[in-house]
Amino acid sequence: MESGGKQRTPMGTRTVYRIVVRDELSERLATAFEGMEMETRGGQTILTGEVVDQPHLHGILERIGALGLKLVSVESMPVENRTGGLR
Amino acid sequence: MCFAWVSVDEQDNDPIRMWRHIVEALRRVALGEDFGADVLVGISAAGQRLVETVLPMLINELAELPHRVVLMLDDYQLVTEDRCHESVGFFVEHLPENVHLVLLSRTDPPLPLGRLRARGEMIEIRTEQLAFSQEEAACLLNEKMGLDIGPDDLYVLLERTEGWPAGLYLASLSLQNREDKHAFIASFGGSNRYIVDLLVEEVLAGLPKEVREFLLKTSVLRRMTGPLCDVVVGREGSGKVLRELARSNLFVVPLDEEGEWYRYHHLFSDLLLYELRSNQPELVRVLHGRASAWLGGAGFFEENIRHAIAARDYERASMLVARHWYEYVFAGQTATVERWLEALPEDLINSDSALALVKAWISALYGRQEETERFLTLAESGSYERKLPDSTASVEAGVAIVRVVFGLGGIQSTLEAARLAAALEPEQTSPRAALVRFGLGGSLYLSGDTSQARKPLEEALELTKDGQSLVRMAILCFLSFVAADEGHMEEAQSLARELRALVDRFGLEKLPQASVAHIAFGRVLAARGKLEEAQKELEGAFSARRKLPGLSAWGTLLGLLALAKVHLARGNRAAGRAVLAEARATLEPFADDAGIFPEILERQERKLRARKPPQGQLDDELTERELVVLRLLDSELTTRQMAQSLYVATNTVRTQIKSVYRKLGVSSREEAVERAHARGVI
Repeated sequence: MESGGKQRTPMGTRTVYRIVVRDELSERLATAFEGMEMETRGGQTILTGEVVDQPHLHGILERIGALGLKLVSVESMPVENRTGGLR
Repeated sequence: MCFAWVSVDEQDNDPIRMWRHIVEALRRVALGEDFGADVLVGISAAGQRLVETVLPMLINELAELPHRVVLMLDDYQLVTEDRCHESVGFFVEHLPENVHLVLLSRTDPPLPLGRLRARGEMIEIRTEQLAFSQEEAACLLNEKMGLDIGPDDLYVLLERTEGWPAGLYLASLSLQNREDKHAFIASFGGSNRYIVDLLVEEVLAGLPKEVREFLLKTSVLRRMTGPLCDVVVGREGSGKVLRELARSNLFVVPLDEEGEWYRYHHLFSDLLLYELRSNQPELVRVLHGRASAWLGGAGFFEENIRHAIAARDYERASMLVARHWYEYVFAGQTATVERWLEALPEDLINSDSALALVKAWISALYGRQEETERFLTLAESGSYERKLPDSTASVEAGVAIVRVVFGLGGIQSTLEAARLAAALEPEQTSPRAALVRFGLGGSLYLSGDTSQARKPLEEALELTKDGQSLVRMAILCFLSFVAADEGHMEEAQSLARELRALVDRFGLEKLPQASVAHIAFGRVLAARGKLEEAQKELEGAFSARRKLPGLSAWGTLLGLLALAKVHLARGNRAAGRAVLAEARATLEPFADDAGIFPEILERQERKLRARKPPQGQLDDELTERELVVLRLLDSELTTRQMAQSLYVATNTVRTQIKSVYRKLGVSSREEAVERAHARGVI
C-alpha cells in the first residue's frame, strides 16, 4: 500500500469492499447481505460488492454484528465508475 | 432495591421517547404514584432541551427516594442518535448515590467509558466473563436440559461455540431430538459452518411442520400474542402454541406476567426471518400486511405503522401518520414522526396535503420559516376536499392554524388567518380548539384590539385545564399582557404567579418558548417598581429565546420594548438605545404590518431622545446597527444566525462586528461583551 497519507477517491468512483467473516454461511443468509456476492472458502465467508457510501458500509457491518459473526477483515478496492458497474 | 427494566428498540432513537419509556418503567416499580408524573409532562414540552430541563428534575426525584434503584436498558446497541447518548451520558455523570444504571449492549456505547473505568465507577461484564465454563455448560446441557453429554463431547461443544451461551443453548435444542448425540457433536465440531446458521437449521428440521410454519411466519413480528399470530399464521390456536413454546424454549421470551405477550430472542427471529425471506420472499410482505391490519384494529398504532411500512403499503402508512402525528408532536416526540416520514416515498409526501401540513408544522417547530412556507404552499396546492385524518376541518383550516400559531407574516395577515381558523374550526370539542382561540386572542392583542382579545384567550385557558402545558403557558402570558394593559395589575400579577407555578412544575424554565413567560414576569415586576429584577427576567428571556432562531418576531418585540422601558426608567440610556435599535431592526421587515409595535417603538424612541446623553458615552460612538450587533454578540448565535434574524447578508454582519471590535478596542467576542457590560450598554 501507500506510504501513509490520505487516500481520497475522486468523484464518480464507487468502491468495492471485500469483507471476510469467520465460519461458512449458508445461502439463506445471503438475503441478509443483499447486493453482495457471497462465497465460502476454508472456514470463512467472503462478501464482495459495491458499497454506495459509508452509511451503507456501516449498515453491513452492523448486520454482521447483529448476527454474532466474527469479523476477520474489511478491505476497500476503488474501481472506476463505468456504465454497467461491476457485475 | 427496585429494578426497572427498559427494552430499547430503534424507535427509542428519539430521546423524548426513550426517556418517556424510562420514566414509565420507573413508575411501574412501585416508587409511589406521584413519581415522575410532572417529569412526564415536562418531557413533552422539553424538545431538544431535554438535558437541561427535564433530566435534572428526574435525577432529583430519584435522589429523594429512600431505597436503591437499578435501571436497566436492554439492547442499548439499538440507540444510535447522538442526542440520546448525550442524555444518557449526562444521566451517568449526575447519577445519585442510590441509583445504578445497567446497560446491556452488543456494542460498547459511545459514553465516556474510559473515564468511568479509571474512576472505578463502572463494572464491566464482557464476552470473556459471559462465556460458559465447562461446569456451566454441563449444568445447562445435563442438569437443565437432561441431555447426559460426556465431558469430552462437552469440551468439543464448548470449543466450537467458544462458550457462547446462545450457541450452546441452540446446540442443546438440536441435541434434544437426536438419537446419536455423540455423532452429531463430532460432526458439529468438525464443521466449518456458522454455528447459529447450522443449528437453527437443525432445530427447525427437528420440529413438527405446524410449529416450524408458526415460527417462520411469526418471525416478522416484534411482539406476539395469540390472536395476532392467528391472523398472521392463518390458523387458530396460536395462544396455546406460544405458551408451549415459552415453556420449552428459552428463545421465546414472555413479556408480561399474564402470559399474553411474547417475543423472540432477536438473533433467533433474525435467522427465522432470513430463512423465510430466502424461501418465500413474497410472503413476507403479505404477512406484514396481515399484522398491520390486526394491530390497527387492536389500537397498536406504532406497530401498525411499522408493519405497514415493511409491507410497503405506503398509502396506509401515510394515512396513519396523518391521523396520529399531532399527539406525538405535542407529546414532544417530533423526532418519532420525522422518522416515520423519512420511511415514506418523497413524492407521496409532496402530493399528500395532509402530510405536507405535518411537514410544515415540524419545520415551523424548528424555526425554519422558508421551509414551512414551502410545505404550506404544497399543502394548499393539493386537491384535498374533506376533513383531514387528524380531525382538522380542512386543509385551509390547517394552513391557517400553522400561520397563526407560528406568527408567519405580518400581524394583519396573522389576524386574518386567525379569524379564518376560528371560523373553520368553531367547535369546542375540536382538538385544535385551544390553539385556535389562543391564536385569535393573541393576534387581536398584537393588532391593538385588547378588549376583544380577552374572551378568546379566556376560552382557550379553560380548554387547557388538563393538558397542553406549552399552549397554556402562552395563553397565561397573553392574558397577563391584556390585564396589564388594561391597568388590572392585581390580575396581571395573579396570572403571572399561576404562570410561574406552571413553568416550575414542569421544568419549562429554560425552553425558548418559555421566553414569553419571562417577559410576562418582567412586565409585572416592572409595574411593581422592581426594576432590577424586571431587567434580569427580561434579559433572561432573550438568552432563552435566542436558542431557537426563527421564533416569531412578535415575542421578541414584546420583550425588547418592555426591556427598553425598564432601562430608560433606570436611567440606562446607552442600554436603552441599544435595545431600541434591536427592536427597530427586528421590526423593519414588517414595516407596514406590525400591529401595535411601531407606535410603542416610536413613543420609546421619543423618550430616549428627550434625555441628553452625558459626555463620552460609548453608545454615541456606535451606530444603531452596531448596537444591535453588539447585543446579539451576547448570545450563542453564530454570525450567520445573527444575519438571518436581522434579514441581512452574513458579510454585512461581519463588517459590523469588526467595526464594533475596533471601536471598543477589543479583539474577541468575549471581550466585546465584557466591555459592553462594563460600559452599561448591555
